[in-house]
Amino acid sequence: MRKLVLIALWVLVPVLTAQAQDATPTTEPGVVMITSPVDGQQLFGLVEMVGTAIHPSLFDGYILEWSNIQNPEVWLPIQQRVNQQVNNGILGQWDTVSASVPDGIYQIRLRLFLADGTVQDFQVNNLVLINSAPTVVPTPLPAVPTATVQSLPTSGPSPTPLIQQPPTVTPRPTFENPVDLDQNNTSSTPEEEESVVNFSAVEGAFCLGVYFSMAFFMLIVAYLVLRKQISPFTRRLWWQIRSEFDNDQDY
Amino acid sequence: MERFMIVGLGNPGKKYAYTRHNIGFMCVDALAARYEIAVDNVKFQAKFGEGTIVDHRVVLVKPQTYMNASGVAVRGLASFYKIPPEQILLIYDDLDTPVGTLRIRAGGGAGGQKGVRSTIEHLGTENFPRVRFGIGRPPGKMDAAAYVLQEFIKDEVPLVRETIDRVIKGVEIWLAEGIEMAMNRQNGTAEQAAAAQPKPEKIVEKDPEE
Repeated sequence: MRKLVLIALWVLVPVLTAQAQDATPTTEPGVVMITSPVDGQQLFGLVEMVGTAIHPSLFDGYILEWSNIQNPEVWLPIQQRVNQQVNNGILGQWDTVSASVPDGIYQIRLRLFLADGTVQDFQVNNLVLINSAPTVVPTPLPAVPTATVQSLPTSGPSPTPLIQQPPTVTPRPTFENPVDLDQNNTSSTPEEEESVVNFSAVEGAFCLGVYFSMAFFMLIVAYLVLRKQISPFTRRLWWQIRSEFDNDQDY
Repeated sequence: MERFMIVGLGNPGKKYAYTRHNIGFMCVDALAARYEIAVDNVKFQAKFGEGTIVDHRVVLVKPQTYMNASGVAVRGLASFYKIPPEQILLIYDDLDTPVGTLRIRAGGGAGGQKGVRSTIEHLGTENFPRVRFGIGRPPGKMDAAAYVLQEFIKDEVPLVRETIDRVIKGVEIWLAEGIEMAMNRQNGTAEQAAAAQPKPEKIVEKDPEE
């Protein structure tokens, strides 16, 4: 009996909930999006935030906020609330230097306020702020992180974070005419080029060794097969050659 | 039973029968007479006969190819009887040693002897035993080829006969005890060979009372 009641509740509750949702007035979703920076990106200095914050009918403003990964619940405003819609434009700027934001990992949030009181959020996570060692490349690839911060910033004076830079490619001696080695591979990386060259060299040496071994083996086989036939002639020739150098008086 | 081959070098025909160059033939004839072996088979450009000397099967051979092609006959018979080079004894004249001197060797070069050179060429090795029968140097500036085709002078004949007997003894020792023993006992002159002969053991008669 108890099981029957539970089963009935399990079936009825979602149905009733769905009906209730259908009864409430729906809010048309707006577009809330930050296209730059993206998750995991390195930031430094003045960070320009690009994106979209629009709603066709209920737009009531948006705000940009940041929070530290150590206190993810505490959101601080990057700038004051903006009451103008932005469609794929600059949402705002975060001056991390003037605001004395310590280096570390941060997240930023775009909050879209609607007139009906609802709020729509878009969040960008794992942003690495490095003002002490700015990188030259402003838009690194997310898939290949270029630096890892091992020590996290603290609220007090913090030591300089130790940054492990990715291993750099050591310049290799290039061949004078690499096209001859691999004409199809015109845009290979140094590692690929090196591996191709080594493989070709090894392959060539291997083939040469095989050819010489086979030739040597065939010579031995030919000698063994023809030995009985040619040995009398070779012996006679050898002794005749020797006798030419024999200084004894012939008789 | 394994066979041995004794080859006497020389030239065929009565014209050369008693020349110095035919001393090999003379030695083979002497062996054939001593052991009653008929050297009358003709094959492989050689006269040859098979018999027994000191309990060994022996093939006596006289190549009929002329001296400078003797190896053809030797190789043919050696192949026919499957005789290895180390069991082939070559007897030939030696210009470098005086009459009456023997030089038995386990191997070596031709030393200018065309028959030996031909044999070396056809056997493909120098490693076969040989008996070098001394015939002496040509007098003055006489050509060696002309000298070896001369007959022995009368004064030399007894020594030659004696030396042929030593050759027969050397062959017997070679067959019975090996080439080293033959070298030890027959090399050199007759006097040297006599000195090298083994001395008979002294028989000590024991006193029956002891």
